[in-house]
Amino acid sequence: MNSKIEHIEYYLPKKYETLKDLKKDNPSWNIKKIYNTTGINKRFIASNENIVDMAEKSCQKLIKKNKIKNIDFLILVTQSSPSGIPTSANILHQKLKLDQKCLCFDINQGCSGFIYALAVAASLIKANICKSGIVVCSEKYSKYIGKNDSSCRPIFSDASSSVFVKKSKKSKIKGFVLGSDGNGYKNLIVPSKNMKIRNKILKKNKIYMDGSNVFLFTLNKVKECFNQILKKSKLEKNKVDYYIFHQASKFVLENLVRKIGIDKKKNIVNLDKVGNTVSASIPIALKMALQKKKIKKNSKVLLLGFGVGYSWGGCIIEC
Amino acid sequence: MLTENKVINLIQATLGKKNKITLKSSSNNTENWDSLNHLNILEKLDKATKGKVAEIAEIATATSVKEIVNILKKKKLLSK
Repeated sequence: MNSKIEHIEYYLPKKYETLKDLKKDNPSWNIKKIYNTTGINKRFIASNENIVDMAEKSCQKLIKKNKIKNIDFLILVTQSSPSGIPTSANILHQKLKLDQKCLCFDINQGCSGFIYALAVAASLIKANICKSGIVVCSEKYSKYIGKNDSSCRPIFSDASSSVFVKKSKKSKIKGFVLGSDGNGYKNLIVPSKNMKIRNKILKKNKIYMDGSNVFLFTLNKVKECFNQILKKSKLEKNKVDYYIFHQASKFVLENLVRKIGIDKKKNIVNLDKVGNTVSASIPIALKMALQKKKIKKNSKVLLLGFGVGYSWGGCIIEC
Repeated sequence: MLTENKVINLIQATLGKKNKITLKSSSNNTENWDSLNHLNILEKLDKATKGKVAEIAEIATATSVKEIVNILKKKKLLSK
């Protein structure tokens, strides 16, 4: 049994911060230099909402707008759950008043999380366990970011995306490649207690990112993953119509285009408008590109997420 | 292939003329050598070595000219 992405919706909190707001808190920051590197001016902040609240809003939008009835699974990707137990997916299941036959669980993954969840969704359909369901990515990294954190505060944005995946006669999601390298776990981390890494004291429950190490990992691994996806999908690079990488930062995306050797015009970027929304970044970029008709129907789009863990994953979808 | 002088010039070009870059320069004694410019240095080194630098994880935390030069020497990416 094959599967396809049928509908996508997303939710962005009302509150947002611009670079001017960051400058107020950090007068010494060179805002122009930060913008030139990140490509991000506006980041959304979920001040009074948690990830379940945001997930509920994007799911309600998805369900109502598309009159969705058959939801056999609910997979919630998040790393900022309001509680350890139960899973946030169960709380969301209750809020959405879903049927008891609908299985639900969380996936704790970051920027590759959407691809991981999509692979699980496609597998559930292929195994004939489910016919259709929702993959939700909801993230609130802002709760881990200190106001003077120059590595993370200019980048990460809160958001939720919901994607309806259903069975399909034609294979419209293929070539999954997933991988991980635990050696990089210390380079992007929210420690549960104070800890020391390379002479740096990391604070409990605050995010730490070693940008240089993460950057080198990205340059290396994403190219390898990209080529594996093409090989697995039996596609030449020039037969792919568009690329949507995890929207990490302008600097990273420009370097990926250089490193992989792809046409810049085919690379979808929406950083300026929403920032880096972690696992929600790929579905939001895909939805925005479809809305603007930047991506046309029946296009082949390569999706590739990478980051915290380290972890990475990608596939090809047909829109 | 890169030389020691080319590495110094590349870092100088990245960080601007505010500080004179020498073999003794590091992020501790060079005003502009912050985390964002360190990324720019890594990018330029990667371009200059045709993608070889991205494969050297230890260069990510090398924040002095001497450390960078030594790593490039060890990886045989630097000629005399």
